[in-house]
Amino acid sequence: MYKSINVSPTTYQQLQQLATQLNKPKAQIIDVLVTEYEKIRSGQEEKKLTQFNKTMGAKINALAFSKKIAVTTDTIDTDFAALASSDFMREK
Amino acid sequence: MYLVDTNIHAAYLLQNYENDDVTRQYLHFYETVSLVDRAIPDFILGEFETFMMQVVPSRYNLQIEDKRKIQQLTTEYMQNLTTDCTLIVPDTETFQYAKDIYFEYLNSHYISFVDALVLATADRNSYPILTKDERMKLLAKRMNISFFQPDII
Repeated sequence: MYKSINVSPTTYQQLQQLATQLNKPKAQIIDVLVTEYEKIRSGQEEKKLTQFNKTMGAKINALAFSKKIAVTTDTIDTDFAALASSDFMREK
Repeated sequence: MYLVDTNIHAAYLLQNYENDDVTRQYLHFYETVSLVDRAIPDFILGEFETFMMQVVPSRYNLQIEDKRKIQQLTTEYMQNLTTDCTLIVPDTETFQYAKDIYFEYLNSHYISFVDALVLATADRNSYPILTKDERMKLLAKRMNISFFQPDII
């Protein structure tokens, strides 16, 4: 696929240098760089997700109400009716 | 990239208070989606904030102390979403497309304007939708928009 892109002169020089050193076409260098970057990013994202699940999971499990309630999130749109005008922002 | 609907965010935070196997399946899947692959539109964040901060306390008659707890959990979650997930804003064409969807189904299969925005945004960006809303999934199917479906319903 042919698509033109604009890069900074420095990036272009570095790309040219890599292509020369490795004796490969510039397009192939870009393919490899993108693939490798995706691998790095994927590993980082996995770590971030694990940490997020752990941290949020602990906070969610710590949520203890003073009374027992049974929630359903199947009817969110209709639940908005619970916002009676007299109750809205009462605390403020 | 998944466009995550309000009901998934709410179910995630309230998971210990909702006893439902199907919801658990949605949440199990949600927890496997990397943060950067969670698309968070501005209008969903707005609806979620109102739902958690005002609707839930009112709907379940929460005491002041309980309201504070849920508000704190919600703001911490929102802080994480807005820092680590992919934030998106619909453009004017998407807004107009949502308007078309909304009025098309107004008298036959009513959906809220926010739901119309979800469908329009997902369709224009080719994002699958992650929602528990059966009505929205029905329309998504009609519009050939992909969505997550648990194995066992």
